[in-house]
Amino acid sequence: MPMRPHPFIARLVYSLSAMAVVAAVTYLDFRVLGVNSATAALLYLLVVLAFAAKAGIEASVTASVASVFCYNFFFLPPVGTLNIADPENWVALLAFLITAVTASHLSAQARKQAEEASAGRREMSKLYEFSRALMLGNSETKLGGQIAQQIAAVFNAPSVSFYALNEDMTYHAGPVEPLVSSHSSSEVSVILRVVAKGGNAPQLPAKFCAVSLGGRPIGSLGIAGVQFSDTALSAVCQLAAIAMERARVQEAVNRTESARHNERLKSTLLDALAHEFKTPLTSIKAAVSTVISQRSHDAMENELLTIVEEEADRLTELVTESIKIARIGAGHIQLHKQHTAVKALIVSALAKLQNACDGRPILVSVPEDLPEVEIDPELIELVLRQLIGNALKYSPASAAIQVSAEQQGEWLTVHVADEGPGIPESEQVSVFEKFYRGQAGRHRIAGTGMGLTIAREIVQAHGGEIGLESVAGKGARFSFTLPKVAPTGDAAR
Amino acid sequence: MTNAKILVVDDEPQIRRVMKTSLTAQGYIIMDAKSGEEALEVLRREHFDLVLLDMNMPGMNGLETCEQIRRGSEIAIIMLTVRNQEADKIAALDAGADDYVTKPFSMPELMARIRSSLRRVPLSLESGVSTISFDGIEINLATRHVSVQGTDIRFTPKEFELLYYLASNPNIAIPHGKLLQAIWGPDYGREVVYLHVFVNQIRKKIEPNPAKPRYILSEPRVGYRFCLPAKSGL
Repeated sequence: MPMRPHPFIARLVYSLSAMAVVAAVTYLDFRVLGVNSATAALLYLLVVLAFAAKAGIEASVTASVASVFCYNFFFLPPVGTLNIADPENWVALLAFLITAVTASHLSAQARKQAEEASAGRREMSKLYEFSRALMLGNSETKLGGQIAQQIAAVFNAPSVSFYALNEDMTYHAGPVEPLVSSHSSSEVSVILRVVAKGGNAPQLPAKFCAVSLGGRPIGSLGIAGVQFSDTALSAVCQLAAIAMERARVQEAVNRTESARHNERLKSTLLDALAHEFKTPLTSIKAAVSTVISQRSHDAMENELLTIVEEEADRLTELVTESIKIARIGAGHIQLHKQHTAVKALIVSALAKLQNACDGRPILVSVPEDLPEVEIDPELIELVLRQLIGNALKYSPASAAIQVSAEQQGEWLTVHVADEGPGIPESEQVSVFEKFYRGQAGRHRIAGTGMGLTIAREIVQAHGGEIGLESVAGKGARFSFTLPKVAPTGDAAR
Repeated sequence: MTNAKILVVDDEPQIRRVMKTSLTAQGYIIMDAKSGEEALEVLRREHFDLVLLDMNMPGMNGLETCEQIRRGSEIAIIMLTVRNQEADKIAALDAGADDYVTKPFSMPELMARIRSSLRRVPLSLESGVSTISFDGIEINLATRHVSVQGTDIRFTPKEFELLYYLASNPNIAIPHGKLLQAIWGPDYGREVVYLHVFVNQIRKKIEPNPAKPRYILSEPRVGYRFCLPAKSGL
């Protein structure tokens, strides 16, 4: 792009040229053509109009004043002086001056309007180019970076800084950095952050503008070294805001889609796993139960067949439970709620842990009038088995375990307490984290570190909380809450 | 009905094998098919009393197969599946199955289910009437047909039995457990979801507006009540 001269120099050159052209016309009229005063006045007027049209008001006014002087000196009697003898000639000179200045002014105004319209068209075309560049932007560069780069490229801006509020990040583009030489890059970032949040920028040789959409701040823009109308700057900011918002929405959609895809994949895998394990178990169970039902074998055969059937059942339960745990661990909890008496669940959980209990004293204390709760009985039973199972594993073989439930306002609280070594205060939060195993038992007692995490997930899915109280050496008491059921109709069914 | 003819549909050869052996030993006549498509083909050629249908098969799955069978037949269908979730049970019953068994199952349990599905409730003994008619709806016990405003409506055996049982015990609330035992048999009583699905299906067939039923009314947490209009032909 050719270098443009400084506006003052350009005006000076035009004004000097105007004087030179007036001098040349005077020489031509006076010396070469020898025209009369009326013709000379018209020729001077032509020069003035030409400068008004091409060079602006300063050059045309200079041409007007120079013409008035030359006209008076060379063509109005007495010729060769600046005096005017005939008053009529004063009128002619004044009329010439007014005509020249007015024509200069009108012509210059028309020229200015044409220039403004042309600049507007150029800005529009650049804004279009900018918006197109943003639409086609590549996915490898961050959008904030793309915005800065495109503004610098499209508007020939030597220095552009764009601050993206959601990333708290400033992107710079253009050969001149930082945006203003008096401030460091990090100081410019601070100014941009202030502007993005609705504050004002200090007086600097750069333009700053907040980027927002519907009143919601998105970032800010700083541009230096290029002329920008306020309208164009505001349009650039709007386009940047729309692009940022579009990218944000797209990213959210992608994230949701990817989460849904992952969830589907996990679910399909778990279904496939369940199917693969349960198919052979179905054959075993069906075959052995058929043989047992025939009743044509002796006691030993019967005992062995019963063992096969029981173990097939146990394996089925392990598979079902493992897959259920995997689903919950992967964040899939589907609650199948029904009205349930907590006492019945405790009894059922203890029955399933019968072998693990191995004659341990288990004290169950549940008030007779405890209301039913609307819960997923299978999952809450899993929580109970997990807590009771832990109590059995982590307390001495002869120590009693207490399972109790009580009503506390709008909540039902279930406690499982043991007389084991307790859980140090430093570990009381961590024990609920995924794969965390207590320091004391991690090498002695088998476990996955998932049990309490899953218990917490299940309780939270019901809207309750799980926690523990423990004093070192005096056992631990785990408690979880369940919201009490509000009576509801079931008319639809 | 120990000579009943059963079609076992499962893509797993070992399951077909064990079913064939076990059920044959119980006196049933067994044929098998390894896909939904093959089952439909076999059912077109031969008559069966019951289909044991695996839900999870490659190609045409159990639900689609069940729907296809139901389009032209009232044969008893028991779905077999590894998934034990209420949504799956509802899907199976909605597709037209009479019952649902979760794998792995014990053979005596499956036998009980088969007996229940093959069993026809002795309706005439329960009610002593052979035809119930009201508001243009006619339930004919002799032909086991239902017509609504003169149009014959297809009912599966279990749907018919449930409707007939409800209609012949009108205007009293019948508990879920009692209904289940009357229609499916003594081993049933907790499968309330069966009643929800079957009642919805019956409502779609006889109620002018199934969303606001006029005849089969829910008694929340208790059961169902058949509201028989005063001028009826019971």
